[in-house]
Amino acid sequence: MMQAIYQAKGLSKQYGHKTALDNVSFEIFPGRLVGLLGPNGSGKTTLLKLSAGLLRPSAGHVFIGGQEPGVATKTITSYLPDRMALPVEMRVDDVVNLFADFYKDFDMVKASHMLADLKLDPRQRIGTMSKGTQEKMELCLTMSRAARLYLLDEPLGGVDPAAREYILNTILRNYSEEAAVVISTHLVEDVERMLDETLILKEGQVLAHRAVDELREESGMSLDEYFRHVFRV
Amino acid sequence: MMNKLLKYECIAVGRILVPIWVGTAVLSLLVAVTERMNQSFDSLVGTPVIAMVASFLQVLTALFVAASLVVAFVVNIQRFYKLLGEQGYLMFSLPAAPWQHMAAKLLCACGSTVASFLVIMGCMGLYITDTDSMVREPVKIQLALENLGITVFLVLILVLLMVGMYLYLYLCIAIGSRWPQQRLLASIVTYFVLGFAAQMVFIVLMVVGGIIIGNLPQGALDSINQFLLQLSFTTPGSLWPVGGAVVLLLFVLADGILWAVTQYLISKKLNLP
Repeated sequence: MMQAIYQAKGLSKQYGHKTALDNVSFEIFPGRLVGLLGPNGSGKTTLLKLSAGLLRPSAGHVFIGGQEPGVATKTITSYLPDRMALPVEMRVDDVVNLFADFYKDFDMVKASHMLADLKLDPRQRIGTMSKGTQEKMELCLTMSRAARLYLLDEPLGGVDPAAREYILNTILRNYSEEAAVVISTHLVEDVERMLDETLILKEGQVLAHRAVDELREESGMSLDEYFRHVFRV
Repeated sequence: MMNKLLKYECIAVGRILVPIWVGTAVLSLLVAVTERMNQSFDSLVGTPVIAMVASFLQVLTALFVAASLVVAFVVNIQRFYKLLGEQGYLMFSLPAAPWQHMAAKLLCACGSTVASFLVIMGCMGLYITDTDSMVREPVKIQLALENLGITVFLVLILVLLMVGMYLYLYLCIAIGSRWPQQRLLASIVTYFVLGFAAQMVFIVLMVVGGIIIGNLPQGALDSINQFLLQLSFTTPGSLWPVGGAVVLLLFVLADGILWAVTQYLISKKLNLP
């Protein structure tokens, strides 16, 4: 039987008195493209930060490849934060070299091709790029790894529709069948066509974790319609 | 992994500091040349021009010397501040333990500060003439073999003080990062509050120590006095090394506490904005 690449067991996270995640449990298997959906403040970013080892859970556990987040899981997890984290003073080739130095699974050729597609000069400083280009570059670096788990936090946030298309195609073209991809977003319509599964969070709890086709069949709605229906104010 | 982190840290810091070091060295060389020209052409026409140029270069050199130290300090503190900011999303995703990030930053901070001092001393050596015996003599005396012990002790104290200074600021930044919306303000407030608290603790310890010693029975005080006197008579000069070692241990202990608390905060309580 196939082993889950990702397991969350009774995962909770509290910030003071505020509960961001409440007893969340689910599994993700290799080869699946999972949409982590939910409105703002539903716990998506917290879940991904816990998975990337940037936060410690208040209760429960996360296992990636059978291990709790740490140095070992970071070697097999490729994480794209929801903000620009690349040092603006560095040049394109410096950052590429940094990724190549730290990640054994980093594919330099793939990265060079993707960055060439973006028409980036290797000597260009990151700080001189537009916000959209910075985000695309960050995504290219994240997807240039042959990781076993990709955690993409709001890769479509704040970019124009043309850039969204580029980003989604980049994700689809660059992940392997053995890897699982978790994409957090609230732009459901944009990602619906590419998802295998959806994990919907509501107020820190798992509202649904289903195959997208199953959910469409049962609800008689598209994922986007279902999302709007559930979260209608 | 540590070597790689250190490499990128040194590149990032060097990118800013090396041009300043080079500038300081070039200006020092120019000051040395104009000083010698000024001395050689002392009695000739045109001396005021050379003297003016020499003065201008001296002021510029002084600015670069100050910048070497100030920038080294500011850049290194800023690097740690950024680690707990948005860059932390990249850095803490690398397959390295939090203590390795901290160690790389600390090593680079101390190394670049020492390097700045060495550059400044080297540059000063360029334009200090033989007549400046008030500078050269104390250095010669300090490096003489008979004073080597005290020199090593002073160097160790300075290194531990420098490490402590950086670790104290790291700790303030780590505590300040608990308030992601007001990180800078929280770090500055922590700096003053912790400093005040440490002073209060020190004063209380001194008072308590004084009270304890004051209330010791006369016999016990006499025994301590006798022991110390005996020690200084039987093995002359043995009190200095013992006292020095105790002081060094206290510094190491203080640095160790600062390291442990900061490491705990960035590994168990990391709270990126």
